[in-house]
Amino acid sequence: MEYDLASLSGLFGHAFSMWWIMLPAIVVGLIAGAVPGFAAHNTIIILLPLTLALNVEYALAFMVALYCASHLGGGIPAILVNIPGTGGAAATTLDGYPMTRKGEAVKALSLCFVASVLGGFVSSVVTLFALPALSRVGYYIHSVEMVVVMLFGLALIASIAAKDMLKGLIAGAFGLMLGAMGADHIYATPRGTFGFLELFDGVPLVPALIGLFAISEALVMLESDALVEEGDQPKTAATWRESAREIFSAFSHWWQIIWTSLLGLVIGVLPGAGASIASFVAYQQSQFFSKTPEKFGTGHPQGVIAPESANNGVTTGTLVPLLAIGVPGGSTAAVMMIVLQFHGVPFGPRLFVEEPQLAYGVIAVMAVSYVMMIPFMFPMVRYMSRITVISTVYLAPFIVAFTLVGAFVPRGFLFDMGIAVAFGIIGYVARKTGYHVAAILIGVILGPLIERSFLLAMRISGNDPMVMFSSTIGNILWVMLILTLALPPIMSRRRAKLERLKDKSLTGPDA
Amino acid sequence: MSKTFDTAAFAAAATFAAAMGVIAPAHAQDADYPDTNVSITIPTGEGGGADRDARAITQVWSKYLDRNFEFSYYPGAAGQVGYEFFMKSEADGTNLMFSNIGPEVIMLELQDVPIEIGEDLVYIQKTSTEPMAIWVGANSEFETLEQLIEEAKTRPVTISVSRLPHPASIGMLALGEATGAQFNLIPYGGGNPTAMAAITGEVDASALPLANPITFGPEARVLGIFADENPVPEQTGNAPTVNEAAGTDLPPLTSSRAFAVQASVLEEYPERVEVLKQTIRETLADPDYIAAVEAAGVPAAFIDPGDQEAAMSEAAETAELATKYRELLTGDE
Amino acid sequence: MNDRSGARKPVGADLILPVCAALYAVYYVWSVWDFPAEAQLSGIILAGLLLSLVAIYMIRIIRGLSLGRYSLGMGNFFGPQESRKSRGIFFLLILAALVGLPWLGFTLSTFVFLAASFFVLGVRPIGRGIMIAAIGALTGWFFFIFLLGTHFPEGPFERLIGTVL
Repeated sequence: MEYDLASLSGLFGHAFSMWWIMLPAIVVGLIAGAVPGFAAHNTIIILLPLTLALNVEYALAFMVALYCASHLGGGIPAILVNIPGTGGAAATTLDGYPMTRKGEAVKALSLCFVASVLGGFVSSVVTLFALPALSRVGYYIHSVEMVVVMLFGLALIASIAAKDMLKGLIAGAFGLMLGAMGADHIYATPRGTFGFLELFDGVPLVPALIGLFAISEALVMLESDALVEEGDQPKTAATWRESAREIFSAFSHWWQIIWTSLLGLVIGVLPGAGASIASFVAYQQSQFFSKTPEKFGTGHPQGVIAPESANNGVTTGTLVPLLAIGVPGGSTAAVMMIVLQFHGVPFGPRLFVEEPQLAYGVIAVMAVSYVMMIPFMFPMVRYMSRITVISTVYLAPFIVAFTLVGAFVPRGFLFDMGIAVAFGIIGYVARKTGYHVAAILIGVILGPLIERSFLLAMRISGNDPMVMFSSTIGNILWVMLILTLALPPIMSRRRAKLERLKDKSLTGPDA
Repeated sequence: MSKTFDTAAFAAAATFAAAMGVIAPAHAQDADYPDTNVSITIPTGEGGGADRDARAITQVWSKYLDRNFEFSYYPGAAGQVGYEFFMKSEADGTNLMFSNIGPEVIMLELQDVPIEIGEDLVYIQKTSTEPMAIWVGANSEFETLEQLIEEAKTRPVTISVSRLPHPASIGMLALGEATGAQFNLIPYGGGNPTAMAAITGEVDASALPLANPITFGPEARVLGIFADENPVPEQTGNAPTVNEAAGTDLPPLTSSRAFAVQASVLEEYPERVEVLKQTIRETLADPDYIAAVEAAGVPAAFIDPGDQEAAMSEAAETAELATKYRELLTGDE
Repeated sequence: MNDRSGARKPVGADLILPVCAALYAVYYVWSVWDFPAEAQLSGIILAGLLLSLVAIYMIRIIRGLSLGRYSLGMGNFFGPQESRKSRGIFFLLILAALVGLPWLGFTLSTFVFLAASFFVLGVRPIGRGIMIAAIGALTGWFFFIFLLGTHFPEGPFERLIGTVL
């Protein structure tokens, strides 16, 4: 489609005209994203009877706005109470929650919202212009390359385990082991399930996430009266002026927001990848390129921005295969496809030929829904940061009550609430004894995904392990992965050496 | 049910009204069967072909069976999880299974599942039948099935399939046996990723139920169909049958979607089963339904109101095939 | 970690996770023993990795113990002494909520769980805790069940509302 000012303004104007359906969707999406277990695709499925009844354009606008808002919402509990609403927000806890503990909740929320909104907006606009090119990505990234991309995410275990590498690696390997539970990808034989049918699909992600983060956090937080460390308590509630100032100053990180959101966009385009992989990789890469990598994990603004802009970049990315090829790249896109099919709208290349307004309209709606979220940021930053002054005796029971039902939602099994409690115990033990819960979760999330891609690649090659080094793109990624892992220790040793030399030269002559 | 709300104000209100509608009607209507919502178990993932077809049917079905439908998805262990949970649900005719007879009967035969078709579970009414097909992405070098088979005689050709226990996988294994071609089956677990692998060229070709390549339109090229004749020549570029193209004599490989109930429902509530069968058949003949199927890109020729007897005999034939290819499909070599 | 001066570092609790992980790894390998190679491959690699890491960790602990740097105490595992009882009961309430949910339904069990937890954790006056619990449970009901139509387990409250509507 050739863009001129008229057609562009037409697209965006039309998207804005659907505000009445997008605003309620944004509200529902923000809340659903913030409650673990709902997330976008569960909520969209729950609301499918509604979306099927609407006309197709409104239905898409509703789903897309809800989808985008839920990714923004997922960061809120991650920052405030250390509970990611979705797997994609798990990396946000690494620096978001330490900021809250330092009394910087207002700042952390502002960073999260600005990164989400700007990142989501930029990646949707880029998609609008680069859709044909983006849709080709899937033709070059196959199972082999996916294995390496996911190893980037796995490498994050090493960086968050910096304090005690052995414990971090044990936690990560334990997560991978748990992630290997369930029916195998080729023959569907159940492995390590204790005979529970409910575990044949593997460890259900949402209950595991809720247990590791929410339940264990609730148990630990009761050890003190307040979330924020003593002395760091904000004296008064955040004012409008303060909220606005933090929001505006968050824009100074624009460059990092843009590149991490584009990274998210590209990962989102890949079939089978998703927000969690993108946010882990973005966090890991941000740390790699950061001038202050040692600050990551202690409440560093860049550590909040990376995962949040990446997981919002993913939202547009996952729609690309659906729009360009006609095959949904993820579960949310698959549900959207049902709605398109139900209304008899063609999808894939035919969509652009037969209904270009609708095809490009979806992406425009995405960009516009991020713009519409801007007014929501100010009150959310101002009032939500107040959660941190609520006493833990109220907070902990509420967290348990509402996240446990969240564990129930995705599959409707009471069993899953039991799993959440079991993972809650694992999480409690891990927290109290210096094993990082995020390392366990990364293993649980990435383990089965890596295994699947690895087995597919192996089977395609006729079980030749060298297939892992058989593609140019794959090999470039391998080199980058090795550099990412090897450079930071070398650099920090060199820096330490330089510092020592400098100290010597400073003190030398006088001594 | 498939109303379109046009005015802005009404649709805004509908956001809440429809959400209320999800729970309200359950208690608002008369007490005749079914007096609650009907739950449908789908043993594959949301957004897959079964989900698509089930949604299309229930939208029209609710005209004849005045109820709301609820869906649950259990894609685990090639459908085993769905079947086992379905057997645990209340056997009173309000819980139905929307099955895909071919792959699921093979799964029940090959995996260690304590469910006997006929004794525990009965397919009461078919809704559609489609043959399996071999197809490639639009960019593929293969123009015909002969070319693919020739290539497969020189090197193992990779074929993406939804899962190993599947009629399409059996078809490829049988074709390989008959022609001496080597087909390396790669199970991607679900129709969408399977198709994606063929379209992006990760694998050489794909074997799936025919509706899949048809819904992908110009992105897919059908090379051969496992049937006695091509039921939809127009939508498949006049693709030949596998037997025509390869000179083989393979049995037709089809799969039917069908509704199933627990066997005990047939004994305890025969009249309910009758209501179900009757209203499903009315739905299948409804012009609205035919239009909905075609709108989803699936040929109306696939609609098949086959009765219980037809469904059960298809299940029996499929079970026989599964036993024949057990070794190749389970890795017990 | 290498705190040579002062008291011995209690590492008893630190062993819980590696030991459980190792046990699961062994169970996993046992459960895939007869399976085709492709189903075993990744599990066996992972189990090998995990067991070697745990073995290295055990060597570290045993060395520390023999050098007198570590002790097998539980350390701060259960948190501050004064709130142990209330936190313990809170955990039991979580288990009770799991058991009670199928009978009480979402709204009532949420209310009872919240109210009981507030009471145990020391929210006073009691009436205030009960009121907050009621508001919380009703808000949850409104958003999740009424608006979104989520299929949470139904109980007396949901059925009552159902008949009224």
